[in-house]
Amino acid sequence: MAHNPMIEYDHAVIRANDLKVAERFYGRIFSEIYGAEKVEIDHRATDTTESYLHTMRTGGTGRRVQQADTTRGINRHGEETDGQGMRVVGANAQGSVKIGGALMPVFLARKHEQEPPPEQLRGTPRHAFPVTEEQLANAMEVLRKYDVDFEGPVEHPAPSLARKSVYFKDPSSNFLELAVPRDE
Amino acid sequence: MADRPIHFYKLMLEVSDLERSEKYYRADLGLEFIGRDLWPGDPSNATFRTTDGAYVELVEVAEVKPDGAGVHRNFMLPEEDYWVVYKRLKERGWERPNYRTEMGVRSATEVTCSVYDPDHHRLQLTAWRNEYVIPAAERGKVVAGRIEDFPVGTVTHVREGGFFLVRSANGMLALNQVCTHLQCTLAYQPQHYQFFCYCHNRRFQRNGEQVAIRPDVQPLNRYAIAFVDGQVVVDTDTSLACAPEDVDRMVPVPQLVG
Repeated sequence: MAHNPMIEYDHAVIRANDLKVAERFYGRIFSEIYGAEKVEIDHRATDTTESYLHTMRTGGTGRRVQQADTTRGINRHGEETDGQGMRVVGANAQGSVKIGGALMPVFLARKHEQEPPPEQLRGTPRHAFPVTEEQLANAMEVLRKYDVDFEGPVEHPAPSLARKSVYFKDPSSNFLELAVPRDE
Repeated sequence: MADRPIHFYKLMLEVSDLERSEKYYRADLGLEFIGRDLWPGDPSNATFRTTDGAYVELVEVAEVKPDGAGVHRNFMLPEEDYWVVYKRLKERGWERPNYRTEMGVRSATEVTCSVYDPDHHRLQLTAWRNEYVIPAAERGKVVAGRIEDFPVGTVTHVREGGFFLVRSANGMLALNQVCTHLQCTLAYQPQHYQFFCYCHNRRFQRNGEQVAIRPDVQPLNRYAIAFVDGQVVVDTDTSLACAPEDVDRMVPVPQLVG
């Protein structure tokens, strides 16, 4: 019989084209939905002398990546580079959002990326968070208050595991959903 | 429901071949399979559940959007399960480079790898080792140098012994270079008179006490010091924990003659 591992979903990295705007968005909206004590925002964009110097010394983690690639005989040129043929994956521009136990490190996008059209509010990839009926009703008020377009509430027929959902996006067009579980 | 823990309710991922990806998430990764097409409003889909109750829904689309740089989803496992899954994924060719691991920028208690799913979505698997023992350097008795080589106020890194020799007016300390947070290696920053851990930004004073408004880790471990014929001899075989109330306890240095 196959081994069934215990696997927990710990965190999901998303990308943003403006870290401050992302932090304000998640901080304000999810604090008003779940309570401020449930939401933690951490800004870690080169905020220590040590991390700044590390970046200067190493060119972000890019140079270290190149060393690793050389060791492994991997040619990654043509991916995302810093102009010298080195892949830049330095994560010195990042923050994180924690909503209850759901951790989402937010990495600054290092190039402009095509977003879905503004009128598309429901898409993939997407992260959903659980809410009660009351929280969902309040959430829609919160979204209206901050001028965040949303779709819903959308009722889901059985066998859908959620009864009702509201769909929206963060300011960098990461798709989000608030869902009322069917067993609620 | 008011007290229900808030966590991810669901992660939705695009896949190009639902059958292939369903097999990967069920048989290779080992997630609990819940069923097909449980979300009628979505395209053809397969649903899994993690041990902590988050759903993972795979939806079949014609064109899968690639992840941006750095984007990944992290799954946490007990270490014994981690190795089962890791070996299985490696055998089946799903492993991908993990630079932080390769460059040693991980703590000693963290085991982690990155893998690709069939659509090149990056997943990360992580386990934290249960035991929490600050390792000794185990280099035996290391002669650091003569007493007079370490003037008052100096901090000297003795690389071969894996410790910092701290000399103050009150005596001498041999501090284990391993951080008591998650066992990364510390660096001494003379400009700040502090030890610094790059992994998670923990800082320690020269007596090994953490610098923080709300300290969350123990003081740095120590090694026993003996003075033999004017030489400083450090026993690196046993790393000694130090209680917070004992941080100022130094080893008295014999008076130099002449």
